[in-house]
Amino acid sequence: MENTPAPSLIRVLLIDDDEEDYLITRELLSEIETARFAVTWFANPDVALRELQDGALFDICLLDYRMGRRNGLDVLPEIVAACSAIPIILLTGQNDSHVDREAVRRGASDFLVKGEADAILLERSIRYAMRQKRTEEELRQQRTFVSAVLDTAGALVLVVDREGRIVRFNRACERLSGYSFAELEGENFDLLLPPEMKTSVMDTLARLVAGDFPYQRENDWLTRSGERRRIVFNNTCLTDRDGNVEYVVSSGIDVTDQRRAEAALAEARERELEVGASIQKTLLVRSAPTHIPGVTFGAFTRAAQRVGGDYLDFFVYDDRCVDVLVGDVMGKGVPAALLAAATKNHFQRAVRRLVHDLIPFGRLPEPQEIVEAVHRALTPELYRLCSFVTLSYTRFDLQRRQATFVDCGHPAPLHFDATGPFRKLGGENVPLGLCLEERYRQRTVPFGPDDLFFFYSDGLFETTDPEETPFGVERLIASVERLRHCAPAEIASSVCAEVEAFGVDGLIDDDRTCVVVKIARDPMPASRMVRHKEVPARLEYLDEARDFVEAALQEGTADGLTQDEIFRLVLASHEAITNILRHAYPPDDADVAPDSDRPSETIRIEVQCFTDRVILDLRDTGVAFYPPERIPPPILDGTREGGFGLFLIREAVDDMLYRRDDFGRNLLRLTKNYTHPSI
Amino acid sequence: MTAQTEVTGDIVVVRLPLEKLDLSTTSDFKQMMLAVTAEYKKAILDLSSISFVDSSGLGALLSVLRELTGVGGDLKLCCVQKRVRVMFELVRMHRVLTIYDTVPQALASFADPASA
Repeated sequence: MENTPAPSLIRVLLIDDDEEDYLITRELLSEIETARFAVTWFANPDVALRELQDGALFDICLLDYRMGRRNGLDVLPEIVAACSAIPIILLTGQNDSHVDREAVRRGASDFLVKGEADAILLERSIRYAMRQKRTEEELRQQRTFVSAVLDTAGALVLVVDREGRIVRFNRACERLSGYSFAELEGENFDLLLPPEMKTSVMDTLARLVAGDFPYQRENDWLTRSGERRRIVFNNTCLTDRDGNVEYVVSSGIDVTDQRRAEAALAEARERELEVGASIQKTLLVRSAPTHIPGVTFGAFTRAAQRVGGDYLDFFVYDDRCVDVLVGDVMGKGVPAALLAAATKNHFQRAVRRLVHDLIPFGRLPEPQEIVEAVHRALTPELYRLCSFVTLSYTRFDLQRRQATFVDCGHPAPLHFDATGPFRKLGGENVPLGLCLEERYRQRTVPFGPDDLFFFYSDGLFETTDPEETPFGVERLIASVERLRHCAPAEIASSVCAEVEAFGVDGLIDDDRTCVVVKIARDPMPASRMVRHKEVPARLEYLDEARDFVEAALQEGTADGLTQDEIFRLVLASHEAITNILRHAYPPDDADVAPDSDRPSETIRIEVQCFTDRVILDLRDTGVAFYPPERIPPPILDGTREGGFGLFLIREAVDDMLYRRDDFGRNLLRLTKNYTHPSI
Repeated sequence: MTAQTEVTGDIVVVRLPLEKLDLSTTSDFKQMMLAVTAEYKKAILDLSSISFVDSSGLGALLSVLRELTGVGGDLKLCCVQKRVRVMFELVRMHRVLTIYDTVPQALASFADPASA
């Protein structure tokens, strides 16, 4: 201001009912050399006010205190209201400190006593008043500017004093809270806080005021409608000259929706984990078979935080033949789990279909036939999904004592030979899904008593310690070797526990799956004699079946069973076969020409003679029938015509077992121990 | 297919053109016995030709027995082969069906109820 040259012409509004005084004032003004004045005189203040209201422009207003019926003090506020930008100097006849104070309070810039004021004093008073007004005006504009900025800002801006009384509350605050600034000005801001947060938030304020500086905090506001909003505040303090905190300025961002979205996302992630884990448990893993003589199985699986694609399955054909499938699908998460489930399903379908198709040939499908069938069905799908599947498919033939395996790029199963060297059951085939032309080939290795097989996924040896050293296959082999005299289930879980202890605490970044197959020290003794026959499931073949059973029993058990016992077994097998005809192949099939259309409706009879017992197996592919335990015992007083069949079977044998196998076949196994066992 | 019958008074002796009484022959057996039971209340079944009876055959025999006793008649068996007898004994049927070694013995039992 000081540096700007004085305005060339200062427009003076003079309101004075005394013309004499007007002339004196004009005279004084004209004496001032540093500025020129254009004086507009109004004797009537109402006329002057109208002029102002109409937009007349003046630089300064000189207002007489005593104007007949109107008092300058009363007029003052009206002038301020009409034009707040004009500085006002009150002129009065006498010095009166009360009038002076009142004038300033009502908006006057200065107070001059007529007669005492010479030109110099008047000039200075005008200059000061104008400068002060200009400063005020600038401040006002600045405040308006700040207010406008604050109000257009999306962020919440809240200013409170040391006690927490609201000093500023911008438009965003109003919109969010539902309260207006006018309602809340001067109120303590804790009315915006939910009850349980009041103490901690006011504590934060106290620390802020004390100079400690928690810049950021997150708390809720309760809106007028009772809604809860989560807000993150950044705090700044405004201090006075002595450095004491006068105001706390908080700018806040409403993060309610963001927090909700985060919570929803976290929940969705959690759900995916749950879905993955339950897929793992229900679809991808099957518990190991039990009660198979001569071999014990153990399986362990631990899903990664995000489920991986490990899967495993067992196919139990009969007591002498079990297939083990372990595999891994590329990738992680629910997509990999679903693909693993689909792969497993492909295997189940392929095995079932091939078993069924090969019934007339009296043999099981070979592992390579099964893998080939799945490969042909699955690889085109894997192409589309840009994924691949590794697996190892191994058949344990307990009668021939050999393992036949197909390797499809899976970590090579380990074979711990009790008598020979340790070997890996590796192959050269690539994973499924990589090459449509690939031909999968099986290999066969013999095994003996006490041998152990270990199948595993890469999650086991790829687990790394905090220094990123992998567990490795060598360590894995050593672990299994150390544990090999334990039960298979224990070996499986202990090895996994060792791997877990080796890795980084609590981190499971890939599924860990292993299967242990342990051949018994004393495997099932080989049978002395096996005879089998497959007959069409029709009445005409009943005699042929009976004759076959009788001949086989006569040949294989004559030294262990009496003729009476043999006859009772023949009768039992006959009853079992008529049961199959009546229940497994329902009678509504009767009108189908039996010979041509239903070649697969057969009954497979197998007689195995051991040194101490005979086992009679009957297999059919018909519908499942009730386990015999559920059928009540027959009434033997002649009043009932039925229910004798099962009774006759039970009477003839020592053990009767019914099972629906993995391929939809019914198996009825009758076991008869010799009364005079031969050596 | 018809059964060979020989009538002595009000008693009929029936011989079956069958070698076995099992699931495959019970419907023939029932058919033949229907003709017999329509005419006679007292019957003797000569099982000399039957080498095998299974639970369905047994059921069919019991059904004939019940039909005849229901009308005040009776069914008696004779000339039962050893294996068939073993089977009857397994299911305690020898206590329900009276079995005689020969046809005359069976005929005599009808005349003298005390001998049964």
